[in-house]
Amino acid sequence: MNHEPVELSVNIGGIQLKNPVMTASGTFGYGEEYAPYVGLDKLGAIVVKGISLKPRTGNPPPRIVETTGGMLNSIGLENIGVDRFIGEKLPYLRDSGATIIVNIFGSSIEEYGDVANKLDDTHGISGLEINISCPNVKEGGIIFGSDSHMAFEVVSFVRQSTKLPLIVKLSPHVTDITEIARSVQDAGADAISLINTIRGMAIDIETKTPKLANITGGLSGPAIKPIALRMVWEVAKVTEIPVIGVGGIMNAYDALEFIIAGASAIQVGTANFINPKATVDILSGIEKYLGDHRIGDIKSLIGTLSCE
Amino acid sequence: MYQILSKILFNKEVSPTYYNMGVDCPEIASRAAPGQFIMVRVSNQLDPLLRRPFVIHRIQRANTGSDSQVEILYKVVGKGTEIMSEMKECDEIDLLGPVGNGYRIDTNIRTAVLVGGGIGVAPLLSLAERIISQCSKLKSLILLLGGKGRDDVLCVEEFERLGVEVRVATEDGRLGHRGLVVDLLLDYLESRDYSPGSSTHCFACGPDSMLKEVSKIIAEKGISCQISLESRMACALGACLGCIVRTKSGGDVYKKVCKDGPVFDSNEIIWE
Ligand SMILES: Cc1cc2nc3c(=O)[nH]c(=O)nc-3n(C[C@H](O)[C@H](O)[C@H](O)COP(=O)(O)OP(=O)(O)OC[C@H]3O[C@@H](n4cnc5c(N)ncnc54)[C@H](O)[C@@H]3O)c2cc1C
Ligand SMILES: Cc1cc2nc3c(=O)[nH]c(=O)nc-3n(C[C@H](O)[C@H](O)[C@H](O)COP(=O)(O)O)c2cc1C
Repeated sequence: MNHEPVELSVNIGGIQLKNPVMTASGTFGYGEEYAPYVGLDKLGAIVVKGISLKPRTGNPPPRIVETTGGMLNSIGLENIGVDRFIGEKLPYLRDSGATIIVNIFGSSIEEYGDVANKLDDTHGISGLEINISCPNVKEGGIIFGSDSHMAFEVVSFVRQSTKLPLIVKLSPHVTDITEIARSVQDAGADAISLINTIRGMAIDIETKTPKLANITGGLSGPAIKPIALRMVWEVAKVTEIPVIGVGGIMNAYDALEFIIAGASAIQVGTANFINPKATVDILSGIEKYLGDHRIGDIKSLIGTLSCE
Repeated sequence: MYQILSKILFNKEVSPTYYNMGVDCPEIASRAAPGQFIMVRVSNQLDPLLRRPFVIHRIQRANTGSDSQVEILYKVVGKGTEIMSEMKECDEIDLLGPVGNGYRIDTNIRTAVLVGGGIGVAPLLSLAERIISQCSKLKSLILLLGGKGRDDVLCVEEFERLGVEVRVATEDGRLGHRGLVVDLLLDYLESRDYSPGSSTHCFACGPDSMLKEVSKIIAEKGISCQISLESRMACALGACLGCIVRTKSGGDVYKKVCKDGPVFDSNEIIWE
């Protein structure tokens, strides 16, 4: 059965995406790692591995352990730093024709601002995603994401450091996700993405030691999807800015649940590790669903959850 | 690197809990080198979730003359390998590979010493085959093989058929020398068979404790040694940064086992 072409484009706080399928930071490298499997320009956007002002070596190994229906990671935000990113990784991505979103973090408010400022002057970047939610590093990351005043401060500061559209990535480690969502919206965020990983641990019962060198790590994958979905639904109800759903999306059906819950776009993370073509498979699954249901424009599906 | 559904040609138990699986995949076979590995998706369910890494045990030629089959030799240790052991001939299996950097083979090698511990023998068979076919000056090819018991000593016949001299050690002493494979290495290095010099190369694969010991012994002798490492990994594409190992090159930075390895020069590794 041939379908009429469906309209897949969405606008995320000023970033025009061809379609709602993005990659989740830290699970798609700097894009080039996946280029043999995925046309990078075919996706809504590529969100690159989290970048800081200076390079970071990350946590000691083992950094990964599989758990039932998910995985724990304690990478610790290893990255090559903003200067090498711009010099070595960005040109390839830019030439690929991809829509590029750079995920950034810092250990202080000023550092967030400095990274944002450096990227502001760089050609080829469509937006920034501010990570205030990494569970694996002591300084930075999550402490900004678990307190709505801190979140407001950091987002306001970055807002002043760049003209680029800002996506703020939220942590699930809060009592009320809507409170923090409102404060980042008030601070000038153009969109919100959620969720980052959930802190967890695993123990080797023979050696009675933690399976990760860092003891705890961030849980991702199908195991976290119901939590992510609930949080996306709660946030989408109370904010005016677009919401991007992340967490355990393995196939098009998962992605569609997030869209119906209120997400304007979705990010695919852990699924890339299992199926390097996961993003494009999800995209064609969404397209097929829209065709089968005679929905001409993805935008008319966003937030259509009916709770009667 | 290719992601493909391949047909299983055989999957047989070669020793209690050890299996040898042959798959039909010309795409991988024709590009694979000894020491590289394959990521296997053991099920299309969500648990087990991640692909499992297995080194290429053997690259086989079909009647057509080109490489078309790959074998993996694996030990059942958990959920994923359990599922693999139940797979049947003609089942399809989802593979990603070949991944990583294999062994570098210097064609001037005169003496090659292969050291394998347990399932660590897996990559050494295709390596031995490659060394024999590529190194015209080869005088001596020796395999030192260790295992806990006799069931953990695999592939002796296959190596002997290639003309490799095999020396065995078992911890319980039921087969060969009673003790560890590193004892065999120390003996070898003291014996008249050992000729020091740049034409002697060592290749090792096995548990970290063995590799660490082998690296130490070899460093004292100053001969070249390549070791094949294992690490917990997720993507195998160099993206997730999960499978890192500390190395001396480039200051105190981690290297990726999946992309920079899994084969490394033994003197490059900083052992934890
Ligand atoms: C590059 C490389 C090559 C390998 N080659 C072989 C081989 O040729 N033959 C063989 O029998 N085994 C090999 N291994 C180890 C093999 O991948 C594990 O034994 C297997 O993944 C265990 O899966 P499981 O589900 O049965 O066990 P589980 O314990 O249930 O596995 C849980 C998780 O731990 C990971 N894991 C468990 N043990 C290891 C390990 N030793 N190294 C890395 N990850 C591990 C699994 O991939 C999985 O994500 C190799 C590992 C690496 C990194
Ligand atoms: C190995 C790994 C590395 C990650 N690195 C980052 C990162 O650098 N910055 C970030 O904001 N999120 C990072 N994340 C979180 C993911 O982007 C995503 O929010 C999370 O994994 C949930 O989605 P998933 O279940 O689809 O994987 C990482 C996740 C994983 C598994």
